[in-house]
Amino acid sequence: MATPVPIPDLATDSPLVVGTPEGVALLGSLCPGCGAPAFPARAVCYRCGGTRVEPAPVGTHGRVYASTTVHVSSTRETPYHLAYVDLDGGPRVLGRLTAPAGIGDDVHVTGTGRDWSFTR
Amino acid sequence: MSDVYVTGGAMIPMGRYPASSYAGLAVPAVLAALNDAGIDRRQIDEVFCGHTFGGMLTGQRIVKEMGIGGIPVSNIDNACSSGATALHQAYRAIRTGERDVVIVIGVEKLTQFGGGTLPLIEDDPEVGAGMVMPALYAMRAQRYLHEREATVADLAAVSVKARRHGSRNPYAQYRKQVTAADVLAARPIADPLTLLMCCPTGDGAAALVLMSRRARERVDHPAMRVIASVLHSGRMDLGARDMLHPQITYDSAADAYAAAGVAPQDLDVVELHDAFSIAELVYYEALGLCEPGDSAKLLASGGTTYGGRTVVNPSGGLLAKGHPVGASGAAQVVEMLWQLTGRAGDRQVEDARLGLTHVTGGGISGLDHGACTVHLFERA
Repeated sequence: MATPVPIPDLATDSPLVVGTPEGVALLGSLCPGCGAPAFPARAVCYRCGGTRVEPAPVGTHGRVYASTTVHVSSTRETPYHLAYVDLDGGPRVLGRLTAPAGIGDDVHVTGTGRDWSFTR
Repeated sequence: MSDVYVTGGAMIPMGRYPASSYAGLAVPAVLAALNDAGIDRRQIDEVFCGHTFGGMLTGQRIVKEMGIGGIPVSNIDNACSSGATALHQAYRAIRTGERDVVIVIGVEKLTQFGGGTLPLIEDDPEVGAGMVMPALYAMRAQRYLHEREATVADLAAVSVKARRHGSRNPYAQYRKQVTAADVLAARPIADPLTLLMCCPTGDGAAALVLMSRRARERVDHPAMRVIASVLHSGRMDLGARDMLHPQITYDSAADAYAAAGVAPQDLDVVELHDAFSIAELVYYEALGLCEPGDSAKLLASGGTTYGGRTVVNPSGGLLAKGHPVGASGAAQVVEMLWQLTGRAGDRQVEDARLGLTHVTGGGISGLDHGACTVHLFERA
């Protein structure tokens, strides 16, 4: 049996977005067993428990499920805008909005490396 | 299997106590609870202490000050459900016949953070993106306003009721009544939530004495019986989740009602997790106090205040009484003990016999909440 080794899930050397022909995509993971997408990438499939999960782009465009503007923070400049976005064919992801957007608005991923947002 | 009773309870008034340690907050509550139950420290078999930000060995730091030791003392973190999870563990220890007298402590000192939103785990991807607890509930509120025939006035009405109830509670952090206009004009926290739709930051401690049937027979004291104690964790789901249908609370409540053989319509008193005004409306539906979709109507009808079928949050709830995270679950049960034993003073719910307490624990991505506890009690 292989020795269990830690997952480097806090490493900051891997990008969170990647360029694709459809646009900037969030770089997450896909489970080849059950097809469950995830963002950020993970080592074990949350849905089926499979351990052969592979890195994959999981969405470039989506629609706002819910959003808010945050006016209080002890660690960030305010106000800032957040949304849960249902990615086309992908998971629901919480991210920063570059500008306020409402329920049902179409948004896409923008950014490079580990610095990304949703924008209209 | 033994029946389980809450035979004593006490809390300190919630507020801001920067000059007190965790022990400084909790020792007076424990001493008062022991006194309330009419027992001596030597009778205690075990202690469960719920807290989230107390650091290592908080429970031992508290009980050693009263010369309590040698017995098992366990510390429990389940975020806002910490105190109620401590109660759940105490219930199990007595239910199985292993223990006769168990102390539950819930304690938290939020003034150590100097105000602002609750510190969450920065390693969590959503927290890293800027998630704070008011933002989560704000998005729930936005969906509520989008999907229901409701307006921000309905969100404000929750806060108005909470402050009205809290004005009669000497243990509440906020006892000043507010109007809907006050609530709507308060400064924005996370749209559409204003400051007065959010629970305050503060410190608190509550303690409970739980006893087996045979231990209780020796003290013959006003008490309530625990008729259900349910703890659930959330299920990971990265897909589309209905933010107005918190599955963890629906499931926990269903298990509790089934275990006790009671229906939500039978409840006289409920203390539920109104950390933000939207939460009370969503939880009316999840706890079965009304059909999904009817929560704003239920609140407006007066059905959840004095004179209604079920008085929700007679203490003022987390919005008015305060929400020192790990203390809240235990403090809700102290209020329930006072209500079901006729000792709630100006805020007594008339002839209260059956009550429910509910508290969740959030701030974790992928789950609707990390933890949920539901307890049912009947007058003994």
